[in-house]
Amino acid sequence: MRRKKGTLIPVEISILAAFLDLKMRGFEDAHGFLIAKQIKDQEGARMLTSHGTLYKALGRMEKAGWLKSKWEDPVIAAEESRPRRRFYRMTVEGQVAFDAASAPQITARLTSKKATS
Amino acid sequence: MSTLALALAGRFTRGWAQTYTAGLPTHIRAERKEEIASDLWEQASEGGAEGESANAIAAHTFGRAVLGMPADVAWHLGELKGDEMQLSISQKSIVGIFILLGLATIIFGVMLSINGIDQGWLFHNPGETFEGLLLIAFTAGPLVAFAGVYAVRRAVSEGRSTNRARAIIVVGTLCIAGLGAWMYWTLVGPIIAVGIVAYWINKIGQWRSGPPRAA
Repeated sequence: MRRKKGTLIPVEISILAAFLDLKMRGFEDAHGFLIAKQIKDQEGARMLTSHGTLYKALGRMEKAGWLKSKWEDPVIAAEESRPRRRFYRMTVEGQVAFDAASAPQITARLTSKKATS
Repeated sequence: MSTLALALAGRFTRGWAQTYTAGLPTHIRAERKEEIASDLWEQASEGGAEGESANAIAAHTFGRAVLGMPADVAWHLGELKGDEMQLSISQKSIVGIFILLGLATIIFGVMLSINGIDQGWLFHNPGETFEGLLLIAFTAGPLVAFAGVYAVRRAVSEGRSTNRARAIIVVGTLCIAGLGAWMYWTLVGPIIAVGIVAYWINKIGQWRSGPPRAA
């Protein structure tokens, strides 16, 4: 069944929630692995989100306008002897979609987690 | 601590990425593979910094790759339907008709061969044996044409020349045309052949002129 346009599925909510949390920690941009790690931490999961699920969702969300991405300068990656990173950033549209879809539950969850930690 | 396990998990994940991105436009393929390579590097680096064993990182990496396979396949199919490889409804109908006719040709050829062997009018003497071999070759024509189509997609996605792949399509379609000519009472074969060649030449042109995506 095709989902209603503009609605978010759980993995997309998790990704946007991860962006919000990363933003609070001072990370405006995040690469795929950092997002997966953030989701794992915020949800207390045992495993990181699978590659397929994560990158498929990121691509779909970028097409929907909820995220935008840019590739890192290859010189920086070469200097650090590692592959180039692709950085994603949540857009205003992403924030709006997140607020509309799930802000109450996620905010409550994050608040209670912070209160207990 | 086994770095071999980690290397194997990385190789497996990269190999899988190489596989499921096959047939997609070059830049989409390159971006996905680079993103996976970056993810693997980050996971190994982060895991090492946190004191995770190489075996644990390898198992985790392998698990992520395997669990993501259905999504990877779905992504691949979605990208094939993307803007750069988008077919109009009428083009899809034409492709569908050609595929059905191709499959019908294969079934018809196989049934004719079985009937010929069963009834003894095929492979009975040298002349009939030649006819039988010809029939088998013609029956395989659609398969050869389909293989050529796949080869074209790969060549386009990898930015290579499509000449060899197109030659395969031509050979396949000539076989189909031959079946039609051999069965002199029908023009189906030649019509399919001309249609397939015309369609794919047009399609290859579309793929090549597709707008590049900004990196």
